[in-house]
Amino acid sequence: MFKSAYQRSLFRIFLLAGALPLFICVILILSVFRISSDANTDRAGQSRIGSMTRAVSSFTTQSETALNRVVSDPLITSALEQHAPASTEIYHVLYSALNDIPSSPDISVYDSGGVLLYTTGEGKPGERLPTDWGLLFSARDKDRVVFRRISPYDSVQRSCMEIACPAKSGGSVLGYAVIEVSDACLSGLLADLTAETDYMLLDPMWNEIHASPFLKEADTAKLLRSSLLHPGSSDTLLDDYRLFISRDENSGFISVLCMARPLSDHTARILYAVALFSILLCLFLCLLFSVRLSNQVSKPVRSLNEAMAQVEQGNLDVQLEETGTDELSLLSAHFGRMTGRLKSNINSSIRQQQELGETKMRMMQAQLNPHFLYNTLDTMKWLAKIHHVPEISTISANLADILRSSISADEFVPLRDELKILERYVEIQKIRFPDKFEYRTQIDDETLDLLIPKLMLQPLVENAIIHGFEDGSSGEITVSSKLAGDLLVLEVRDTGCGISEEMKQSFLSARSDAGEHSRGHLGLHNVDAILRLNYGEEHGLRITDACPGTCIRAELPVEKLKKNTDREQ
Amino acid sequence: MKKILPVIFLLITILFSGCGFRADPQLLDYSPEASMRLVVYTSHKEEVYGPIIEEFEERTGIWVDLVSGGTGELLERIEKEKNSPVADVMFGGGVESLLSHSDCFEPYTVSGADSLMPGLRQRDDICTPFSSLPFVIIYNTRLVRQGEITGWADLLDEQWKGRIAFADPVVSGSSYSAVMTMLTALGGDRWELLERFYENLDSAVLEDSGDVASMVDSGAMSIGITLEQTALKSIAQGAKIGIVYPAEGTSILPDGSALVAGAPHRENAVAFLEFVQGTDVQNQVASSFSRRSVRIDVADREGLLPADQIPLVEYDVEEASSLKEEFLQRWNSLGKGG
Repeated sequence: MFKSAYQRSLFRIFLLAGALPLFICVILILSVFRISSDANTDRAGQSRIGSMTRAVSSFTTQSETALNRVVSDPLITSALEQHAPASTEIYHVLYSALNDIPSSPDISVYDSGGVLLYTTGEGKPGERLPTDWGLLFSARDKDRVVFRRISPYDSVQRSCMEIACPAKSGGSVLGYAVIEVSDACLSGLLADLTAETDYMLLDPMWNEIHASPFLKEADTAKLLRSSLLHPGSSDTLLDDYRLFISRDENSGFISVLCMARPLSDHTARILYAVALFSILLCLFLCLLFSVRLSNQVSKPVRSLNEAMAQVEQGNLDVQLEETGTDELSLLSAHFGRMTGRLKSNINSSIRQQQELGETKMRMMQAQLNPHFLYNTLDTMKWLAKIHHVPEISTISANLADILRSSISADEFVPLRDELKILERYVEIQKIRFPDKFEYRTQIDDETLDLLIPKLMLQPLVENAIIHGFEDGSSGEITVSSKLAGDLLVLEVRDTGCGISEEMKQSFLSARSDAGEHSRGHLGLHNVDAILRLNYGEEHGLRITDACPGTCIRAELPVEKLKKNTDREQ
Repeated sequence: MKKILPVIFLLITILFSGCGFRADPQLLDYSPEASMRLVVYTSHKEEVYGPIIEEFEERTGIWVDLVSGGTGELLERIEKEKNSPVADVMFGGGVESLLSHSDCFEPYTVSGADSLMPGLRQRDDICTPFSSLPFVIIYNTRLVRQGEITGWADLLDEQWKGRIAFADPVVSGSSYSAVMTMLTALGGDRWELLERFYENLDSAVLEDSGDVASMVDSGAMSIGITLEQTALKSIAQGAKIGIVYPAEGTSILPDGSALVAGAPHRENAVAFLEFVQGTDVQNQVASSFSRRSVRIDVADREGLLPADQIPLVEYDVEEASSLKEEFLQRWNSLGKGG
């Protein structure tokens, strides 16, 4: 799903920070809302069903009392026995029995054959009710007050509920007293109590006796009965309503209050759909942002990574495109500069290597067959001694020493040894150019043991002899060495004609262009190159005017000159 | 990611399970126990079963779960549920239909069996007769003169071709019994007579036996074959129809009730059978339902031709049910051929 672990962890963080709290909030709010509104409905419903039940129960109790009073009234009993015609006294008894019953139902008296005798209602005397069926059968059969709804199948449909009680005398049924309760009577009794809530009064078999218009319309009683018979089945009407049920012990009648659920399924579904939608939106945004953000970060990182891999492979020409001003772009820019620097470093070190190689080559050429030369010189020395030519002998011996030193494997020699060789050389040159120059040394003793490149001073002195006095003049050549701080300062000074500005320039330009050496200063250049290679660019030779004459000066770091082993490493 | 996704799904599930639970425990407290239940399949009309069921419930306190439908449909259902019966009682349906599914029912002899009319009781008491229903011919009193129709033979008369209201015997069990009664009463080759009768119907076969009386009353048809009680009921509602008890003899076909074999609430089913056979219900049958009672001790309604004066023909219920398959085959081929 995600390209990188970084994206994954970003997404996780976004989820935790964004979606999860939203999620929890939605759940909490919805459940709190639901619970509290359900609790409210519950309280209201419980209190209303309570008052409804009390009303039904007091109504049935009072009806029962009234019927018992009527059937036990001696006047009624004797009237039933004698089939007496209706009289004011009888009606007085009937009406006074009704007095205690709220919402004034009607009361009738039937004889033992089910013929209506007296009534306070609309029934006509002479009407029949079956005695082997329905209400009167039930009253006789059970021998007590019975409550019964009027079903759609009953022949008389004046009321919605009847209460009957048999009148007996000595074990035989004389007749029946019946209270007929109309719809209007029941709604007068119940409508106010239930405070506009939908309600129903059901018989023990959950058939409707009386119901508020909405429930009557929806035939809710049938629905309830069928859901009792088939508990598994569910009905959408019942889903949206909360039912409060209670049973009247007297009659077995069941009161049902039906309150709309504050959060009907439909509303709840919409709420949940909105919640789900917002959560999904949040998830989507989390995903989107994590991908975008991680791309923003990981793209430069990735290209930086690739560039590094290329550098690792040796390609230093990698170019990173500039993307912006943030930290990652700065990093990229830095990386670019770093590779540039690395590249120039490597280039210069390659150039140095080449120079070194060339110098070495020249030195090797210079050392051509030195042993043969050495032996020849030795022979010359002995021949001169034999023939008593001391100058040749001295020259040969000195030359041989110089040659031996030059062919020795040591690259660095103590200053002491170097000075000895220099003296040999000067001796030779003195023979060549008698009285041309005086050679002097000013050497600090502490510098004698320092190691310097072999044959470093000789070319300088040679340079001074050849060029310092080329106009035929004579002077002094002084070689000095001293310590100045951490530097060894070596100087070769002559009091000759001095160096021309042109020469100095040619020396400096030759230094920068390794290939071209001005003729006649080969030795000087070699020394300069050796010094710079060994001790760094800044430790090359310096040529200054000494007025009169020239001073060639080398300042070498003492640290690097001290021990053989240090140098090797 | 793998850890977070399940958590999200769990939360979503929690969120949405909140709106699923709706069963009202308070309501279910009032659900009747199995011992107080009874499942009745009935093919009676509501006006018949309504008061009876209601009275039964009130007297016994047993909750009746009622399934009403056509006889054939309900019997098929009982047959299908044979291995785990749902119904306890089949209430209604001609006895021959009940007998044709005798393997689904348990024989039961009601306590008042002696008071049932002899001849209406069935083999082994597989079913108990509920009411006695003679087949009659009805006619529109404006289109047919009194005395013009006297018996089954008139139904084969060209004069009435296409004017006979008759319900499809494939659909209506009583229609089948009626035509079998006619074929028996007329005598002769049964299948040839059937062919003639079918021709005389001229393809006008009604889908519902309840339509016969209304078709005749409305004048769409002149004569019809139906049950006495249907005719009586229509007359009571003001239909202009007359009744003829066929001179060749008719059959009195009781409808019945039967105890389903392996009934889940057998005790209550027995109570129900006893109840509908009892005097109280039988009195209602005679007085309120335009029917004749099956009890000898219950008098028929005044004004009805007394049962012993109705010309009857020997009608063997079992033979009729054994012939049903062949009959239906022939009837269907007639339908296709015509």
